[in-house]
Amino acid sequence: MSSSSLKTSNRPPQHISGSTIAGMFIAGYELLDTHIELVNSLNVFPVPDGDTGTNMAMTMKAVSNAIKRSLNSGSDELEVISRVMARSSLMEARGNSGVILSQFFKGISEGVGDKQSLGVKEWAICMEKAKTSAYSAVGNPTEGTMLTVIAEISKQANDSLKNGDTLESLFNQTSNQIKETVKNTPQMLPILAEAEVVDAGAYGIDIIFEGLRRSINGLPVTDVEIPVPGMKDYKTFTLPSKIFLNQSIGQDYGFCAQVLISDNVTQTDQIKKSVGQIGESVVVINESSMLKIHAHVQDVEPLLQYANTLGKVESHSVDDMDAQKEEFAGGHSKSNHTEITSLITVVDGIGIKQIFSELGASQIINGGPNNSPSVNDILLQIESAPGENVIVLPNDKNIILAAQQASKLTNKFVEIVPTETFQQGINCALSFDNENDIFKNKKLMLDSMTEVISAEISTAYKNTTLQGVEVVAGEFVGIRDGQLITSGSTIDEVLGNLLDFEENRDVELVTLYHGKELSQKDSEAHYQLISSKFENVEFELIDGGQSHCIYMISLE
Amino acid sequence: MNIKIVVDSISDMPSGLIEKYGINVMPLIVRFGKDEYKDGVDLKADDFYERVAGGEWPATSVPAVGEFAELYKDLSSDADGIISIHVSSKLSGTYNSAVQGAATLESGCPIKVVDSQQASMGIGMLALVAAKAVENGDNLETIHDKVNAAIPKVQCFALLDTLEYLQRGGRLGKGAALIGGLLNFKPILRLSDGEVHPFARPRSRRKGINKLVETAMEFGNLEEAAVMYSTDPQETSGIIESLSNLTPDETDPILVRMGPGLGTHAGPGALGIALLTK
Repeated sequence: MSSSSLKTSNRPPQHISGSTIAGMFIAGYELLDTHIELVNSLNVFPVPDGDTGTNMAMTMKAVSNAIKRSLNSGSDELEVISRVMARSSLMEARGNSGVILSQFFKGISEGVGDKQSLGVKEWAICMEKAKTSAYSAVGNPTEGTMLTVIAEISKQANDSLKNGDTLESLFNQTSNQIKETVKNTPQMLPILAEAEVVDAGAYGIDIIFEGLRRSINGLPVTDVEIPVPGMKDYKTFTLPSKIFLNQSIGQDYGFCAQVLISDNVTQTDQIKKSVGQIGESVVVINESSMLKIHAHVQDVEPLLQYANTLGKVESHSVDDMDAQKEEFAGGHSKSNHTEITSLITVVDGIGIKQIFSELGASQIINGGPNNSPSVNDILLQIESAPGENVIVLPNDKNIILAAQQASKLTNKFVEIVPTETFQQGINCALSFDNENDIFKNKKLMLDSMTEVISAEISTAYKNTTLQGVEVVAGEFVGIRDGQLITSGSTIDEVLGNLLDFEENRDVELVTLYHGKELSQKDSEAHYQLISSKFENVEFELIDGGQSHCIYMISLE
Repeated sequence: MNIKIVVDSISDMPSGLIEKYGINVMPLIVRFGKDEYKDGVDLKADDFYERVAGGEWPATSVPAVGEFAELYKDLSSDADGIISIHVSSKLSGTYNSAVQGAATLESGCPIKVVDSQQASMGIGMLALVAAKAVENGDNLETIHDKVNAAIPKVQCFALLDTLEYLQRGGRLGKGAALIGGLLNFKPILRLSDGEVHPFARPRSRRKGINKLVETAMEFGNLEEAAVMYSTDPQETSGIIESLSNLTPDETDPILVRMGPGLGTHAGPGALGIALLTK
């Protein structure tokens, strides 16, 4: 027998009557109503649409209103109230969470039957029925959600019955048990762990039961905030979808890497520790014989090397978070991993590198004009690229051959799309989709390659006459499709001449990538001037950071 | 045989078709903050996009189970069956709400609830398949079979001005691969397997429109075609002209306005095509 404190005059009830349960669920609704946005912010499962809180609250509001109507009309019998709750919640049920809630109330109503009040024993029966009913609400019940919490609630009620607890003690212990369960939802549902949240619906149930507990104990539900169990940062937490996006973009974080491993026997805790030394934001999930490691790393190699010691690396990705999320959330959707295509590209400059990464290149080789990577450099990246099908974008005439050599030295299936400039390479990468097969990717890329004209502005190092253009050392030269077509003493002049060139008259979009020797301020001045000169052309300025020329320009 | 057809407001079906075939539309809830509206009923597209342009952020909620229960009950009084076709269950809880609503009906009128795996006029294409089967005098089972058989034949693509609305609403899915970075491009998305997938990244809007047309061309001759827009009908003219070469008898494709419910996720400046392939 647990000792209940009976000091206050407002003693907790020994039995739940119709008016008691009415007060309990009205309190549950009122408390939930002030937590809607907080619940919404956690919502990633089953659809990350941020409306679990809204749906649960709307369903509970219907219950609360229906109870009040019943009380106002003088009906406060337990049987009537429980039936009213079941009916109103079903009719106003919204979303999966609302439907599950309505089934929960249906179970209570069945458990109540024609009883006039509930003790611990009867409450345990109601919760048992509520659990069964809630699980039957959805086609494939998923653990780590509000269903798991409801099951725990039922279990706690049975434990309390065995221990001879009071109602007060039952509800206090139930709330504690719920919080523990909510805290553990990420261990049960990988998508939650990945988003670093607990389950929204589970937390919603926590709040409702806090309301019930407070009502039983005579405590207020206004101006109360129920912290999210297991999430110390819940107040500053941003929407999970944004977290995913930041991760997939963020160069500042290095790479967001994920590795899938089968045949692993190492303890999850040990793996977490080891990966923690290689990267940050480490999540290790062990599910149905597959191990998944997620981490933010500066370099993917050490992680892969470690992963190889654990078991068979089935796949890894450094940028495509969503496909992996899908795979884990949906279990076995499609993912024939031998079918995916990987993209390898040569880059020069931070901006160029970022663009290729954002467009889906998994492997990046530093290089470019005057800095050709070796056959071995390329081969290494082909070998470490995910999957068996690899496309290489050399992005320079002098690298195409090395790429071809490398492709002969591997057992992987390699296609070279013979891009001669970064501008062509970027346009090809725009057509890249790692879910398309390699032939479709190659075809789309070859089509795209010829859609842009590549131009550049560089500095001349000696006096000369080239292709009929007189060039003085230190002057700027404009090159279009590999042909020197203009020179001048200012960048503005050369840029203007390039665009004035007759064969460029149909150009609609000009992308200027400024090199690392040019300041952002100077390049913005060039951009402003040229934009005002050619009003029918759309200009875009990007910090390419390349070292091989002042401006890389793509004309399309 | 008196078979009734129900769709939800995400289908964006033009009023002409709704009236012609006597289709019933269940509105979703569109919210601006605490204000709630029935999609297309007490909030029309023009007012909706005006408020969005004014900086307000919309959100959607699914219709309550009770609303489906009530609609089905009303319809069942003089129907031999109901076919209810809804937005992809991977994008919305509407389908689930409809299934629960149908389960409450005690009259014995059979109801087939269909997960279209589509959105916008992609749903509408299936409703048209159902409507033609109803006209043909088919029974509910046959209509249901025809609609199910048509699901894989529906193709839906959209060129968006921004992914922000999809992202905010949590429906971006694999389309997140199209989140822009340093380089600007206009995202084209494809609905397949009931979800949003990345499709193409044209660098300009004009190229994007061309890509939509080329994509439709690749499917060859069509049973039916529709062109959707959220705010700018002018931009549809070129697409309409090209697509009319692909439809039976070279009729113009159906012109569809994306309503508030869909617009909540597609945003202003969206264009799309929905195709029923052969």
